[in-house]
Amino acid sequence: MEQSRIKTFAYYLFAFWLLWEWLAPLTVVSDTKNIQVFIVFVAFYFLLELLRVPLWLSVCLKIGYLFYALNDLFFHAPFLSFQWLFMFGEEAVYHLSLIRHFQWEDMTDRFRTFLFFLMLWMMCYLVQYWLVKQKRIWLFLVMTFIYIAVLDTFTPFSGTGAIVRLVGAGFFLLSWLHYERLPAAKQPAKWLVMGAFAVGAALLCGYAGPKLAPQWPDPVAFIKSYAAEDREQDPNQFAVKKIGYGNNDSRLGGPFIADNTVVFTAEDEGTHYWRVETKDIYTGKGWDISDSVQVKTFEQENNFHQWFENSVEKKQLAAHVRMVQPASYLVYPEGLKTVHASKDIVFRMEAANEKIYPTDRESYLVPLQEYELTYEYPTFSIEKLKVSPPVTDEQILKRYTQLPDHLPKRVQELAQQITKQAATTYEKVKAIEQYFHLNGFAYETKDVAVPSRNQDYVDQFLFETKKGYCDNFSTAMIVLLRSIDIPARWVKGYTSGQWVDETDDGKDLYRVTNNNAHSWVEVYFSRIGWVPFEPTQGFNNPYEFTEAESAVESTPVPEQQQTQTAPNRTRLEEQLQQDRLSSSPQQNQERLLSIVNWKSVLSLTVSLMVLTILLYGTRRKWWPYITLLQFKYRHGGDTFVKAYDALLRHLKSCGLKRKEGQTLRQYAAYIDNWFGTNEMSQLTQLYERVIYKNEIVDQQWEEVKELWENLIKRIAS
Amino acid sequence: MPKNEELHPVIGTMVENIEKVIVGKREVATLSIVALLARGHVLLEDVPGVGKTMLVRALAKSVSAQFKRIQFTPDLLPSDVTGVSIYNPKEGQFEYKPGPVMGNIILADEINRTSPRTQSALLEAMEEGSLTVDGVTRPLPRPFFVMATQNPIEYEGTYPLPEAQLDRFLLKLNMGYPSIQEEMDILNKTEKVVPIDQLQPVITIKDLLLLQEKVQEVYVDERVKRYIVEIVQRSRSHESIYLGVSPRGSVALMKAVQAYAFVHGRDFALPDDVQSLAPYVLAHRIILKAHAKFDGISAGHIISEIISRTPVPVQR
Repeated sequence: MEQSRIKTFAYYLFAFWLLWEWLAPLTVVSDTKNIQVFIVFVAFYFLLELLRVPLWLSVCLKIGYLFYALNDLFFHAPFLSFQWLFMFGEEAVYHLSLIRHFQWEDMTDRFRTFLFFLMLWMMCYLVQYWLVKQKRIWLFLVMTFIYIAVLDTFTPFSGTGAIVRLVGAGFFLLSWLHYERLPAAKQPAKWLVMGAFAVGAALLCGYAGPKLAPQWPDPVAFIKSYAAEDREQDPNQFAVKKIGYGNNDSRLGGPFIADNTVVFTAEDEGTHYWRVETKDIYTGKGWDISDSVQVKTFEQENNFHQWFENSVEKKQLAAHVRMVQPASYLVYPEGLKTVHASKDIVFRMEAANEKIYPTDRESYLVPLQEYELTYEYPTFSIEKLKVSPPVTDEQILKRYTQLPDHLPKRVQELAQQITKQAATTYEKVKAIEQYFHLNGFAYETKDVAVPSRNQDYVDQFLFETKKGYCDNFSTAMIVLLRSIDIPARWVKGYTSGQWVDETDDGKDLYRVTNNNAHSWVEVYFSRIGWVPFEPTQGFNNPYEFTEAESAVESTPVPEQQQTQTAPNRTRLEEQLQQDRLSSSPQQNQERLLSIVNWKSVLSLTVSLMVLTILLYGTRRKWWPYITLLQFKYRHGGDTFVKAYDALLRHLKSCGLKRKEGQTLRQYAAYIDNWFGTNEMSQLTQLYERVIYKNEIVDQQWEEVKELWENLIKRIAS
Repeated sequence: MPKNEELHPVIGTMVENIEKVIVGKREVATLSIVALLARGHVLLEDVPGVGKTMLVRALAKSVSAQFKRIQFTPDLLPSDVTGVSIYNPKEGQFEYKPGPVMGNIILADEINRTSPRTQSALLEAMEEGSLTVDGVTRPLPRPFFVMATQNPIEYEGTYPLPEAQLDRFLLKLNMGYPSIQEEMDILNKTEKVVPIDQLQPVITIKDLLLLQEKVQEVYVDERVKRYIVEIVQRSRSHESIYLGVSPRGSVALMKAVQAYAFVHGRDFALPDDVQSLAPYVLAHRIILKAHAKFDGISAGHIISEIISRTPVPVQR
C-alpha cells in the first residue's frame, strides 16, 4: 500500500515535470512573461488528483484558482468583491461573438489567458490519464521531443537542457511504465536498476562524448526561406540570417548554404539582373538604408522614375514574372517602365531603397503572384562612360560616398593604388572591378568569415580572407570606390537564373531559385545614370557595353571589358544555340518528357519505398485485421487449421515465438500468461482435437471463431 | 506436461485412495497406474524408507488385487520366486507349490541384491506373462504387475541389473523425499492409526482388466507416432549416447502414452503425453558414453535435451 502511494506520487511528479517542460519555453518564444501562474496551476491540479479530492470539490478549487489568477493578473479587483466576475462575464459574452466570427486577433489577453487555462486543464487531464491510468506515455513523450526540437531549431529557445532531461527521465519513465504494465509474474526484480543504469550510462556517454559538427546542410534554412516573405511586412521582427533573398544585411559574413527552392520563373526577352532593393549606408559590418519616408507611387506606368539619362541607348523589352509564393515586393529589371497585374494595384516605390511594393488603394500590401512588365534595356557606350564628367551632384555624392569613420586607412590606400594608372572614372571603376579577378580572390560559400567586433567586413575580406561570395565582392568594390569618392550603391536581387526553355512567342523561360540570390554594384555616372558592375568571381555582367570601332585598341581596360563580357554572353548564347540545333523541337520535348518521367519515377519509387517501410513498420497493427477479414466468412474444411496457423504466425511476429520443442499446450499457457487470459488454451484444446484426433469441430465452431478473433485483436492492440 | 488436466474419474478415485496413504506423491502414483494400465512394470529406484512398499501396497489394496512381496537376498533361489514341485507321497506325484510371483501385484524389493539367476527368473515371467516350472508352462494371473525397487546408494554385494534387462520395465521412477509440509502430514496421519489398514478397494480386478482393454483403443495419430519415432531415432545418433533406444522402447513409449492419455481422460494421444513420459520410459533404455558419465550428465538430462530439440508436429 505504502509502496503504491509512493509510486503514484512519482507518477504525478513525472506528469508535472512533462508539462513543465512544455510551459518553460513560453517565456522565450512568446510574449508570455508570467508562466508561474500556469505552473502553479499544473502543480495544483496534480496535487488535488494525488490527494484524491472528490471531483466536485476539485473542480471548484481549480475554477477558484483559475479566476483568482485571472483577477490577480488583469482585473486587480478585490477577489471577494466579485466585481471581476461581472467584468469577466461581459468580456466572455463579447468574446463568444468574436469566436463565432473567427476574429482571433481581436481577443484580449485576459480572455486568451482564460482559454489557455482551459487548454492547460485539458492537457493535465490527458497527461494524467495516459501516465497514471494507462501507464503509457510514449506518444506524449515523442510529442514533447518534437516540440522542444522545433522550438530549439526555429526560435531563440535553447533546448539543450530540456533534451538531456527528456532523454534521461523520459526513457527511465518509459521503461518503468513498461515494467508496471507487465503481469506481476513477469516483473524481473532487477529491471528498474538495469533500466536506470542503461539510461544513465547512455546519457553520460552522450553528454561526455565528442560531438560531430552537423554533417548535412541545415534543412531549416530551406524552410525559413519560404517564410521570408511573411516577414517582409515587418522587417524588424526577426534578426535571423537567411539563405536566398533576405532583408537584413546589417551583419554580413558567415557561410552560405545552397538552396534550390524556386522563387519565381520569368519569360523574358533579355538577360539582366532582377532587382529588389538597393542599400546605401555601409556600417563596417553590413548594409543599412538611410531613413527616408519618401514614397513614389505609380499605377501601371512608371512615370516619375527615370532610370537612365536620355543619352543612353535603350530598347523596349517585356517580361512575364510568375512567383512561386505571392510576394509583397516586386522583382524588376533596372529600367522598369510598366507593370501589369491582374488586380487593381498601386505600386509604391520607397525612395530610400528603390524597393517597390504592390498595394491596394488603402496602402495595404497585396502580395502578387504574377505580373507582366516592360522595361528599357540599356546598352552602355563605353565611349560615353569614359567621357562622363566627375559627379558634382552634392546630394548623390554625400549619400553614396558615405563610409564609416573607423574604416581602416589601408582600404583607401589600396583603392588609390589600384586606380593609379586610370585616368577616367570609368577606368577607375573597371580597374577596381578587375582587381578581384587578377589578385587571387576566390568564390567561396562555406568557409566564409564573420568579422570580429573590431574588424571591418571589407577590410577583413580584402586583406585577410580573400574569399567570399557576392556580398563580399560587391561590398568591397563599393567601399573601394567610395574611398576614392566615386558614388556607388549596393543592389540586391537575383541573377537572370537558369534558362529552361524557349516559349512559343520567342521569349526565354528562366527559373530563378534561392541560389540565384545575388548582390552587385551600381556606380553613378553623370549624364548616364546608375550603371551595374559585377566584381564577383564567376559572375558576369549581363548588361551590354558597346565600344566605338576606333577605340578598340586605344585603352587596355575596355578591351578587358570586352573579353570579359562578350565571350560570356556568347557562351550562353552558344549553348542555347547548340541546344536548339542539336535537337528538333520534338526531340526536345521528348528529352523534357524523359526528364519529367525520370523525376516522377524517382519520386514514385521514393514514396513507394517510404510507404512500404511505413507499412512494414506498422504491420503488427494492420496485418491481424487483414487476417481477421480473411477468415471471417470462411467455414469448415481446413479453415480452422489455417486460421490457427495464421494466429501462430502473428504471435511469432509479436515476438512470442513458439520454440521448436514446445507443445501447443505449453505454448498456449505461455501466451495466456502473457495476455492474462485463458483464451489461447481453450482454442488450443479444440485445435488439438482437430490435429491429433482428426476430429471436425463443427459444433464448437462459434466458440472457435470467437476465441480466435479475440486473440487476433489482442495481438493487434 | 498437461497441467491441471482432469484425470479420468475412475483413475482419479484410485489416485485419491492412494494419496490417503502416500502423501504428496500424486505423480508417482499416477505414473504407477499408467504402467499398470499399459500392462507394463515399474522399477522404483530410491533410498529405503520413502514409501516404495507403501505405494505398492496401497495400489494393490485399491484394486482389491492379490499382493505379494518378494524380498530379494543374495541367497534367494529362482525356485523361491517361481515356486517348486514337491512330491506328494499320498497322491504319489509331484505337486506344484506356487511361488510369490503368482500374484496380481508384486513388490520385488531390492531386486539388485539377488543373483542374476534369480533376477532373470522374475524378469522372464514379466516378459512372457507365463511361467515354466519343471517343464510345465503356467499362465500368470491377470493383471500381473511388478513393481521392483532398488537402492541406488549401496553397491556392496549387489548385482546391478544389466541394461538389456532394464528395458523389461516400462517405467523407471524415483520417489524422492517429501517436503516439510508433506512429512508433517505423514506424521499426523500415522500418529494414531496405520492408514494402509483402513484402505478400501475402489475398483475390482474385472474393471481393471476392462480399463486395460480400453487403453489399447486410445487413438495415436500418425503425427504423434512419428514424433515418438523421431525422438527414439535421435537417441540413436546422439553424441553422448553409446546405445540408443531400441524399437521395443518405441513400442513401450507408445503404449505408455496411450495409458497416459487415458488416465487424463482423453481418447487420443498428444505430443504433450510423449514429452511427459519420455524421461520415465526412455532414460533407463540408453547407455551413456563414458565421457558423458564423467561429465556428470544423466540420462534424464539427455532425454530432455532431445525432446527440446525435436520439433513438435503442430500442423497437418
